[in-house]
Amino acid sequence: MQIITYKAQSVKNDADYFRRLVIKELGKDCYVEVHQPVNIVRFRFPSGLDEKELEKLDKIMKEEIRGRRVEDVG
Amino acid sequence: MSIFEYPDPSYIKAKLDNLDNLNISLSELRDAIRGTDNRTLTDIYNRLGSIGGSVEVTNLPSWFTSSNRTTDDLFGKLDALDNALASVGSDKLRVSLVDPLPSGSNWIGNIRIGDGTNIVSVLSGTLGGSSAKLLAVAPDLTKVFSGGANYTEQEVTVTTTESSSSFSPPLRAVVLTNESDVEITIKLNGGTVAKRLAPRACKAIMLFEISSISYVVSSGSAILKIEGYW
Repeated sequence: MQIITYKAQSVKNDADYFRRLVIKELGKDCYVEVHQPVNIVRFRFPSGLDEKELEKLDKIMKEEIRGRRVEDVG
Repeated sequence: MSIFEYPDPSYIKAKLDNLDNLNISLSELRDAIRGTDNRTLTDIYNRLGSIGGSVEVTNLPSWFTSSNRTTDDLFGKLDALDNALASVGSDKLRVSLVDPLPSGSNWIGNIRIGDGTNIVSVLSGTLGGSSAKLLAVAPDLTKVFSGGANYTEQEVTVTTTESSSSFSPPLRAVVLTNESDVEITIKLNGGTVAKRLAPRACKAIMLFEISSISYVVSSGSAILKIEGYW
Protein backbone atom coordinates (compact mmCIF):
# COMPACT_ATOMS: atom_id res chain seq x y z
CA MET A 1 0.00 0.00 0.00
CA GLN A 2 1.54 3.29 -1.13
CA ILE A 3 0.13 6.40 0.49
CA ILE A 4 0.66 9.66 -1.36
CA THR A 5 -0.54 12.94 0.09
CA TYR A 6 -0.84 16.30 -1.63
CA LYS A 7 -1.42 19.66 -0.04
CA ALA A 8 -2.87 22.64 -1.85
CA GLN A 9 -4.10 26.13 -1.22
CA SER A 10 -7.65 25.09 -1.90
CA VAL A 11 -9.42 21.88 -2.86
CA LYS A 12 -12.85 22.30 -4.39
CA ASN A 13 -13.48 18.83 -5.82
CA ASP A 14 -14.40 15.76 -3.85
CA ALA A 15 -12.64 12.42 -3.51
CA ASP A 16 -14.69 10.76 -6.21
CA TYR A 17 -13.53 13.37 -8.74
CA PHE A 18 -9.85 12.67 -8.02
CA ARG A 19 -10.38 8.92 -8.03
CA ARG A 20 -11.99 9.01 -11.47
CA LEU A 21 -9.21 11.27 -12.70
CA VAL A 22 -6.51 8.88 -11.54
CA ILE A 23 -8.28 5.87 -13.05
CA LYS A 24 -8.54 7.74 -16.34
CA GLU A 25 -4.97 9.04 -16.39
CA LEU A 26 -3.03 6.24 -14.72
CA GLY A 27 -5.33 3.29 -15.30
CA LYS A 28 -5.12 2.37 -11.64
CA ASP A 29 -7.82 2.39 -9.02
CA CYS A 30 -7.08 3.73 -5.59
CA TYR A 31 -8.64 4.96 -2.40
CA VAL A 32 -8.92 8.75 -2.19
CA GLU A 33 -9.82 11.04 0.65
CA VAL A 34 -10.15 14.80 0.54
CA HIS A 35 -10.14 16.96 3.62
CA GLN A 36 -11.08 20.46 2.63
CA PRO A 37 -10.35 22.28 5.89
CA VAL A 38 -6.71 21.24 5.70
CA ASN A 39 -6.66 21.14 1.86
CA ILE A 40 -5.32 17.62 1.71
CA VAL A 41 -5.84 15.02 -0.98
CA ARG A 42 -4.58 11.57 -0.03
CA PHE A 43 -4.24 8.61 -2.36
CA ARG A 44 -3.73 5.01 -1.37
CA PHE A 45 -2.58 2.65 -4.08
CA PRO A 46 -2.76 -1.02 -3.06
CA SER A 47 -0.22 -2.04 -5.73
CA GLY A 48 1.85 1.13 -5.48
CA LEU A 49 3.08 3.44 -8.24
CA ASP A 50 6.34 3.24 -10.16
CA GLU A 51 8.49 6.31 -10.63
CA LYS A 52 6.93 7.35 -13.93
CA GLU A 53 3.39 6.98 -12.58
CA LEU A 54 4.32 9.02 -9.54
CA GLU A 55 5.74 11.78 -11.74
CA LYS A 56 2.54 11.75 -13.76
CA LEU A 57 0.42 12.00 -10.62
CA ASP A 58 2.56 14.91 -9.42
CA LYS A 59 1.90 16.65 -12.72
CA ILE A 60 -1.84 15.97 -12.56
CA MET A 61 -2.15 17.29 -9.04
CA LYS A 62 -0.11 20.35 -9.88
CA GLU A 63 -2.40 21.14 -12.78
CA GLU A 64 -5.60 20.37 -10.86
CA ILE A 65 -5.03 22.00 -7.50
CA ARG A 66 -1.50 23.35 -7.69
CA GLY A 67 -0.80 20.72 -5.09
CA ARG A 68 2.58 19.59 -3.90
CA ARG A 69 3.41 16.17 -2.61
CA VAL A 70 4.01 16.36 1.13
CA GLU A 71 4.11 12.72 2.08
CA ASP A 72 4.84 9.47 0.33
CA VAL A 73 4.67 6.36 2.48
CA GLY A 74 4.96 2.78 1.41
CA MET B 1 57.20 -93.46 -5.61
CA SER B 2 54.33 -92.70 -3.24
CA ILE B 3 53.04 -89.42 -1.95
CA PHE B 4 51.68 -89.33 1.59
CA GLU B 5 49.47 -86.63 2.94
CA TYR B 6 49.14 -86.07 6.67
CA PRO B 7 48.10 -83.16 8.81
CA ASP B 8 50.71 -81.09 10.41
CA PRO B 9 50.88 -82.12 14.10
CA SER B 10 51.23 -78.51 15.12
CA TYR B 11 47.94 -77.72 13.29
CA ILE B 12 46.18 -80.57 15.14
CA LYS B 13 47.55 -79.30 18.43
CA ALA B 14 46.27 -75.79 17.74
CA LYS B 15 42.78 -77.10 17.01
CA LEU B 16 42.76 -79.22 20.18
CA ASP B 17 43.87 -76.22 22.17
CA ASN B 18 40.76 -74.38 20.91
CA LEU B 19 38.54 -76.92 22.65
CA ASP B 20 39.36 -75.06 25.84
CA ASN B 21 37.13 -72.28 24.46
CA LEU B 22 34.10 -74.57 24.46
CA ASN B 23 32.93 -73.65 27.92
CA ILE B 24 29.42 -75.12 27.85
CA SER B 25 28.39 -78.70 28.31
CA LEU B 26 25.87 -80.46 26.10
CA SER B 27 23.37 -80.66 28.96
CA GLU B 28 23.70 -76.94 29.55
CA LEU B 29 23.12 -76.31 25.86
CA ARG B 30 20.02 -78.52 25.96
CA ASP B 31 18.61 -76.69 28.95
CA ALA B 32 19.27 -73.33 27.33
CA ILE B 33 17.26 -74.38 24.29
CA ARG B 34 14.39 -75.78 26.33
CA GLY B 35 14.04 -72.64 28.43
CA THR B 36 12.82 -72.31 32.00
CA ASP B 37 9.67 -74.36 31.37
CA ASN B 38 11.61 -77.25 29.86
CA ARG B 39 9.63 -77.11 26.65
CA THR B 40 10.33 -79.85 24.18
CA LEU B 41 9.74 -80.15 20.46
CA THR B 42 6.70 -82.22 21.37
CA ASP B 43 5.30 -79.30 23.34
CA ILE B 44 5.71 -77.04 20.29
CA TYR B 45 4.11 -79.61 18.04
CA ASN B 46 1.13 -79.98 20.33
CA ARG B 47 0.72 -76.20 20.68
CA LEU B 48 0.72 -75.65 16.92
CA GLY B 49 -1.92 -78.32 16.58
CA SER B 50 -4.04 -76.56 19.17
CA ILE B 51 -3.76 -73.20 17.37
CA GLY B 52 -4.59 -74.79 14.03
CA GLY B 53 -7.75 -76.26 15.51
CA SER B 54 -8.95 -72.92 16.92
CA VAL B 55 -8.48 -70.84 13.75
CA GLU B 56 -11.77 -71.71 12.19
CA VAL B 57 -14.48 -69.50 10.79
CA THR B 58 -16.85 -70.71 13.47
CA ASN B 59 -14.54 -69.32 16.11
CA LEU B 60 -14.53 -65.74 14.70
CA PRO B 61 -16.77 -63.16 16.44
CA SER B 62 -20.36 -63.45 15.40
CA TRP B 63 -20.45 -59.91 13.91
CA PHE B 64 -17.71 -60.92 11.47
CA THR B 65 -19.81 -63.56 9.78
CA SER B 66 -23.22 -62.14 10.54
CA SER B 67 -25.47 -62.07 7.52
CA ASN B 68 -26.25 -58.45 8.42
CA ARG B 69 -22.65 -57.30 8.68
CA THR B 70 -20.47 -58.63 5.94
CA THR B 71 -17.06 -57.41 4.90
CA ASP B 72 -18.78 -55.85 1.89
CA ASP B 73 -20.76 -53.74 4.32
CA LEU B 74 -17.55 -52.59 5.96
CA PHE B 75 -15.95 -51.73 2.63
CA GLY B 76 -19.07 -49.84 1.66
CA LYS B 77 -18.91 -47.72 4.78
CA LEU B 78 -15.21 -47.10 4.31
CA ASP B 79 -15.79 -46.04 0.70
CA ALA B 80 -18.47 -43.59 1.81
CA LEU B 81 -16.13 -42.11 4.37
CA ASP B 82 -13.36 -41.94 1.80
CA ASN B 83 -15.63 -40.07 -0.60
CA ALA B 84 -16.68 -37.63 2.11
CA LEU B 85 -13.05 -36.86 2.86
CA ALA B 86 -12.11 -36.60 -0.81
CA SER B 87 -14.81 -33.99 -1.41
CA VAL B 88 -13.03 -31.49 0.82
CA GLY B 89 -9.46 -32.67 0.65
CA SER B 90 -7.57 -35.66 1.81
CA ASP B 91 -6.94 -34.41 5.32
CA LYS B 92 -10.06 -32.43 6.18
CA LEU B 93 -13.48 -33.23 7.54
CA ARG B 94 -16.55 -31.31 6.51
CA VAL B 95 -19.07 -30.64 9.20
CA SER B 96 -22.69 -29.71 8.71
CA LEU B 97 -24.38 -28.27 11.75
CA VAL B 98 -27.80 -29.86 11.95
CA ASP B 99 -28.48 -29.52 15.64
CA PRO B 100 -27.66 -26.56 17.88
CA LEU B 101 -24.26 -26.68 19.51
CA PRO B 102 -24.60 -27.88 23.07
CA SER B 103 -24.14 -25.37 25.83
CA GLY B 104 -20.85 -25.48 27.62
CA SER B 105 -18.12 -23.47 29.21
CA ASN B 106 -15.43 -23.93 26.58
CA TRP B 107 -14.62 -21.17 24.10
CA ILE B 108 -14.58 -21.58 20.39
CA GLY B 109 -11.55 -19.79 19.00
CA ASN B 110 -11.19 -17.03 16.47
CA ILE B 111 -14.01 -17.69 14.01
CA ARG B 112 -14.36 -16.47 10.48
CA ILE B 113 -17.64 -16.95 8.68
CA GLY B 114 -18.19 -16.30 5.02
CA ASP B 115 -18.01 -17.50 1.47
CA GLY B 116 -14.30 -16.91 1.21
CA THR B 117 -14.59 -13.29 0.21
CA ASN B 118 -17.05 -11.70 2.58
CA ILE B 119 -15.79 -12.79 5.92
CA VAL B 120 -17.26 -11.95 9.27
CA SER B 121 -15.03 -12.36 12.28
CA VAL B 122 -15.90 -12.51 15.94
CA LEU B 123 -12.99 -11.05 17.82
CA SER B 124 -12.41 -9.06 20.93
CA GLY B 125 -10.79 -5.77 20.23
CA THR B 126 -10.69 -2.05 20.70
CA LEU B 127 -12.83 0.29 18.71
CA GLY B 128 -12.14 3.99 18.90
CA GLY B 129 -10.24 3.65 22.15
CA SER B 130 -13.08 1.86 23.94
CA SER B 131 -12.96 -1.82 24.78
CA ALA B 132 -15.68 -3.67 22.97
CA LYS B 133 -16.55 -7.06 21.60
CA LEU B 134 -16.84 -6.65 17.89
CA LEU B 135 -18.65 -8.51 15.19
CA ALA B 136 -16.43 -7.39 12.40
CA VAL B 137 -17.29 -7.41 8.74
CA ALA B 138 -14.50 -7.80 6.22
CA PRO B 139 -12.09 -6.21 6.16
CA ASP B 140 -11.68 -7.03 9.78
CA LEU B 141 -12.68 -4.07 11.94
CA THR B 142 -10.39 -4.98 14.75
CA LYS B 143 -7.36 -5.10 12.54
CA VAL B 144 -8.44 -2.06 10.58
CA PHE B 145 -8.90 0.08 13.64
CA SER B 146 -5.57 -1.13 14.90
CA GLY B 147 -3.95 0.49 11.90
CA GLY B 148 -4.75 -1.95 9.12
CA ALA B 149 -4.15 -1.26 5.47
CA ASN B 150 -7.68 0.02 4.85
CA TYR B 151 -7.65 2.33 7.83
CA THR B 152 -7.49 6.09 7.61
CA GLU B 153 -7.22 8.75 10.25
CA GLN B 154 -7.28 12.52 9.91
CA GLU B 155 -7.79 15.45 12.23
CA VAL B 156 -9.47 18.51 10.78
CA THR B 157 -10.11 21.95 12.16
CA VAL B 158 -13.80 22.77 12.16
CA THR B 159 -14.74 26.42 11.89
CA THR B 160 -17.94 28.40 11.55
CA THR B 161 -17.71 27.95 7.79
CA GLU B 162 -19.11 24.58 6.81
CA SER B 163 -16.50 22.35 5.26
CA SER B 164 -16.22 18.67 4.47
CA SER B 165 -14.17 15.54 3.99
CA SER B 166 -14.97 13.13 1.19
CA PHE B 167 -13.99 9.55 0.50
CA SER B 168 -13.95 7.36 -2.58
CA PRO B 169 -14.75 4.55 -2.34
CA PRO B 170 -16.99 5.37 0.61
CA LEU B 171 -15.86 4.48 4.10
CA ARG B 172 -17.65 1.45 5.48
CA ALA B 173 -17.39 2.53 9.07
CA VAL B 174 -16.46 5.79 10.70
CA VAL B 175 -15.60 6.92 14.19
CA LEU B 176 -15.83 10.67 14.74
CA THR B 177 -14.33 12.14 17.87
CA ASN B 178 -14.86 15.69 19.00
CA GLU B 179 -11.57 16.57 20.62
CA SER B 180 -12.58 20.08 21.61
CA ASP B 181 -14.80 21.90 24.05
CA VAL B 182 -17.13 23.12 21.32
CA GLU B 183 -20.10 21.21 19.95
CA ILE B 184 -19.73 20.17 16.31
CA THR B 185 -22.62 19.80 13.90
CA ILE B 186 -22.12 17.13 11.27
CA LYS B 187 -24.01 16.00 8.20
CA LEU B 188 -23.41 12.78 6.33
CA ASN B 189 -23.43 11.93 2.62
CA GLY B 190 -24.64 15.35 1.54
CA GLY B 191 -27.78 15.02 3.61
CA THR B 192 -29.53 17.77 5.44
CA VAL B 193 -30.09 16.01 8.73
CA ALA B 194 -27.68 17.44 11.23
CA LYS B 195 -26.19 15.47 14.06
CA ARG B 196 -24.66 17.17 17.02
CA LEU B 197 -21.42 15.87 18.35
CA ALA B 198 -21.02 16.91 21.93
CA PRO B 199 -17.66 18.27 23.12
CA ARG B 200 -14.94 16.66 25.18
CA ALA B 201 -14.07 13.45 23.39
CA CYS B 202 -17.63 12.55 22.51
CA LYS B 203 -17.65 9.89 19.82
CA ALA B 204 -20.03 8.96 17.06
CA ILE B 205 -19.64 5.53 15.52
CA MET B 206 -21.32 4.89 12.18
CA LEU B 207 -21.38 1.48 10.59
CA PHE B 208 -22.64 2.30 7.13
CA GLU B 209 -21.16 3.67 3.94
CA ILE B 210 -20.10 7.26 4.16
CA SER B 211 -18.80 9.19 1.17
CA SER B 212 -18.77 12.64 2.74
CA ILE B 213 -18.89 14.29 6.12
CA SER B 214 -19.73 17.96 6.48
CA TYR B 215 -18.97 19.76 9.73
CA VAL B 216 -19.38 23.17 11.24
CA VAL B 217 -19.39 24.85 14.64
CA SER B 218 -21.59 27.72 15.72
CA SER B 219 -18.74 29.65 17.28
CA GLY B 220 -15.01 29.35 17.74
CA SER B 221 -13.35 26.28 16.31
CA ALA B 222 -13.00 22.61 17.10
CA ILE B 223 -10.81 19.64 16.26
CA LEU B 224 -12.60 16.69 14.74
CA LYS B 225 -10.81 13.37 14.50
CA ILE B 226 -12.02 11.16 11.67
CA GLU B 227 -11.19 7.46 11.75
CA GLY B 228 -12.57 5.07 9.22
CA TYR B 229 -12.04 2.11 6.96
CA TRP B 230 -13.19 1.31 3.50
